[in-house]
Amino acid sequence: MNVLLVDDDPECLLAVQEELEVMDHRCIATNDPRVALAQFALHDFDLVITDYRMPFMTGSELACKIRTKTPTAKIILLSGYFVTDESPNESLFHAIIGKPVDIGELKNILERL
Amino acid sequence: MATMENQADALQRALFNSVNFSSIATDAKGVIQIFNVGAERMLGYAAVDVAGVLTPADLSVPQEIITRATTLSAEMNTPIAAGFEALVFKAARGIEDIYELTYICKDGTRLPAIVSVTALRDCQDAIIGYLLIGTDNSERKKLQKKLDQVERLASLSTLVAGVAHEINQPLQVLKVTADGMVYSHEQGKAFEADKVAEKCRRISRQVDRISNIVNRLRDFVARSHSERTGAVDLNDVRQNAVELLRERMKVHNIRLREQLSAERPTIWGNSARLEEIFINLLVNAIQAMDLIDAENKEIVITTTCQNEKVLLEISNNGPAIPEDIVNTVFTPFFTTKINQENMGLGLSIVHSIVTDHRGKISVANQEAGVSVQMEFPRHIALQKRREAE
Repeated sequence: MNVLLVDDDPECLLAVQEELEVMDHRCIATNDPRVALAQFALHDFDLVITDYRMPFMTGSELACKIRTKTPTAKIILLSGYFVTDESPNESLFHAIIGKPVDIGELKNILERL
Repeated sequence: MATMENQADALQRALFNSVNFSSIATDAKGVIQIFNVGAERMLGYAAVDVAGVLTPADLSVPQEIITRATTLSAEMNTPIAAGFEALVFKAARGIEDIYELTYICKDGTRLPAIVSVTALRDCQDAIIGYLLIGTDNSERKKLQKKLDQVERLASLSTLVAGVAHEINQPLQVLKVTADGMVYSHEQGKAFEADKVAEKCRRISRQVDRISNIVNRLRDFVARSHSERTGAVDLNDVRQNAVELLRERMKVHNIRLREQLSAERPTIWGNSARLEEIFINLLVNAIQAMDLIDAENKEIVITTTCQNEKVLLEISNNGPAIPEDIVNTVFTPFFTTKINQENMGLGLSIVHSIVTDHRGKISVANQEAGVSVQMEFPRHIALQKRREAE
């Protein structure tokens, strides 16, 4: 699969990217959701995986912007920020995975897509 | 006429001998002359034990007398000895003086009291003695202690919400990295030694991140239990609070600008409680700015030394406070944020901490945003002050 990965934490980004690559997916990773939007316009992606809390826009806002262009895009939310904050709009995502994410769980979800 | 005088005398005697407050009258040097029934009951001494022998300072906690002498010396700008003089210095100069004082009872127990001091004068207006009227303050003290605990808990809960997120990030990296290695192994993929070392280094960095957070929390908790006061540099106190919240500001897309006084903005106080000022105001600003959609969200911390004062300002360019509630924001449990972790205690806590440090606080809407301004008496070491004179 071609995956677009967005997470503002560089360590998180790299760790998840490597694991996706181990699972034989191709991955473009960025820590800036604005760059992610630009990348999404340039390439064909089978899947977008995004963090929730990020600079410039939340994962929900990013998903909205992607959907206005490509309503059928597959988007997964990966986030640890639901403890006290507002909850993301579930209808925007194919799946929501809480951090720390279980690789087995992620793999299962990817296979079901 | 005689009966009226008798009645007035009787009333005066009864008043003085009321058991509900301690009345202690001394001569001009402070030696106790009269020790009423209330004083006997509250302190456990008989009048004959103390009259002509002790001064009220002998019946008080020595550390408090020393602290009072130091504070008064600074306030009145003259050296005051840590003894009876410290208890009556203001009253002797005709200044109204009501303060908290802890008496030591005969059996060694401590009795917190509120003491009101009056100078007694003869018809030539010369001071012939002093009257110290004390009321039992222990119930209020107990209540205050409970309130302090509630405040501390509220500060902590706002902090914990942010810290949970900070710890979750490195946890995520740890989990994914470790799981990924196990997965690769199970898939029979070959590992290069370099790759393994790189992953181990990443794991180690995450452990550092988490232990850094834990250390700062431990610091915070250790210091909140400390009742110790001392000279505190507001720039230093700010540092720890900012570090605790730096990640949270980052994820909320807020830039922090600091304009710190080059001269040390030192005040007298408790560093952990002063740190709570920063934490509460910063968390408040972060939450307020969530309500706006802007690219240039900014919090500005400014410290300034100005003669005998230290000024602290924490401002943000978030939404203005509606004018009709600007005066109520310091009230406990007042909150505009419903259904959040917030208990509405933040600003009232800040207010009480500032007041406890003999400071003033005000909040105002600015052209763009909200500014909280505080003013504290600057602490200049007594020694330095005397040298300067």
